[in-house]
Amino acid sequence: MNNNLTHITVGVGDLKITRSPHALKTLLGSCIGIVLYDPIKKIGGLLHIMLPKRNSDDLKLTKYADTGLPYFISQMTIGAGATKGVMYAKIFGGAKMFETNGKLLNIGEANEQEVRRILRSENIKIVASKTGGTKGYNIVLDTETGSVECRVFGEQIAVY
Amino acid sequence: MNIDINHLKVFEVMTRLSIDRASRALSKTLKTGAKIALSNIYITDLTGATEKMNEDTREMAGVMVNFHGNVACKLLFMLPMAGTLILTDLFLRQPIGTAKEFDEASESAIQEVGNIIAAHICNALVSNFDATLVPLPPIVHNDYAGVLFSSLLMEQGMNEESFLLIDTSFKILKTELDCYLFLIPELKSFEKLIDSLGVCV
Amino acid sequence: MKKILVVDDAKVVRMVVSQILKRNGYQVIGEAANGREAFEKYKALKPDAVTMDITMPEVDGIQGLKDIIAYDNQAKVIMISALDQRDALAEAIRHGAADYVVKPFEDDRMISALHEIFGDSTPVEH
Repeated sequence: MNNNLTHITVGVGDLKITRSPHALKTLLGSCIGIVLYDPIKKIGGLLHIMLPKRNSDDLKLTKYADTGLPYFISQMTIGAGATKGVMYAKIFGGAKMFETNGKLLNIGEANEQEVRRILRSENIKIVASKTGGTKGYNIVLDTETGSVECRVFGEQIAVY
Repeated sequence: MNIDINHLKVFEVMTRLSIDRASRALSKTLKTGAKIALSNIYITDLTGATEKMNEDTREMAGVMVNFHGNVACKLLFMLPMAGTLILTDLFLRQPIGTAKEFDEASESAIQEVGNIIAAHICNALVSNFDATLVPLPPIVHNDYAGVLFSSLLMEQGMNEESFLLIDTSFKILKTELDCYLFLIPELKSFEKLIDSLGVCV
Repeated sequence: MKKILVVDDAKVVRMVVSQILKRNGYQVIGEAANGREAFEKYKALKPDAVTMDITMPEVDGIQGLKDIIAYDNQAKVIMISALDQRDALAEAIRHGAADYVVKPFEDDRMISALHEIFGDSTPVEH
């Protein structure tokens, strides 16, 4: 990973899109981090969704896979000028996390299924993924190369 | 989220009294000064709060406590993994540097810190404000600071646009321990409690 | 030497309580991490007294106390809890607790409680 990149942090339920030479980073638990990248124009985006489906009246579209992903795709293409045909996806996170009642919150799997379903219907290929488990993910997208550095808590860094 | 300014003032007093009591109890437990001070009570949304905390990718040991009673609240205490060893030494009244690795004893040290803080916050609210409140058994979980924080917020804020967050500064004297303590009260239940006290006009 | 069963879900607390007991001439006959384990060990080990935390996972200390007292109404159980609340104290006493010590406590407080229940007049060492 190029250390000269400016790092931009993405919060839960948030979306950020940028170009080289910036890096987008986030931490994920049960949430899914979806990276979309246009390798020709070197435009990258990171969406941090929290739940698979949107509630009736929540205005925050980017919290949910079903409203966040179509919005993300349109922001990448219409908003930032990426070409949908060359764009690919990488997905991370979706862990089972402990709640304060000691039970495992198993929303990660439903999040991942919904993300995969939408990307398939949009014809965007998932070229890499690292999901599941019970620990958090620390991911950094390098918009120069499209590579994602991912470190699951307690494990070694891997590049996708 | 609308909060009456008078309610917020009373709520701030409640918080200060509660964390003062927790500070004293923790100091006595660890036989050294534990200073917890209220740094901020603020309304935030999930994205804003987690964007800041997602900068913190340190590996932490965290303890989360849920409360049961006529007011609802959740608590998160966390510190870097190496700090749990110091906490273990303080608990066991042994020289700092004795505990060498994170094991069952260090996991239980942070668990007990969570229990002591939570129980004494409850004690203060029960004795001073007629709440009925007890902590449930603490849950210890190790992860990135930002992930632990998000987990707590998501439990509370999964379907809410904004919520009240209590941020503290937490120091244990004679150590370099850098700890986080967050409380997330469920505001509606606290408003009811404050109304029942008859202190707001 | 009196035999004590130490019950708390936090290992560090069991370690600290055990150290204090041993220093003061008691034998720690066993440890348990919740109310169910406490009841099982009470039946198996027949301790002279039990120190019992309240807030524990699975089966809490109040249920552990009830089970032990239902099995042996002469059982001597000292509750040791961070809950300093009238309702918690009343519930413990109602179900047969011999004493209630609030965490954090000074060593003397727990030892005095044990001396009291054993009718031991030996003063607590300072």
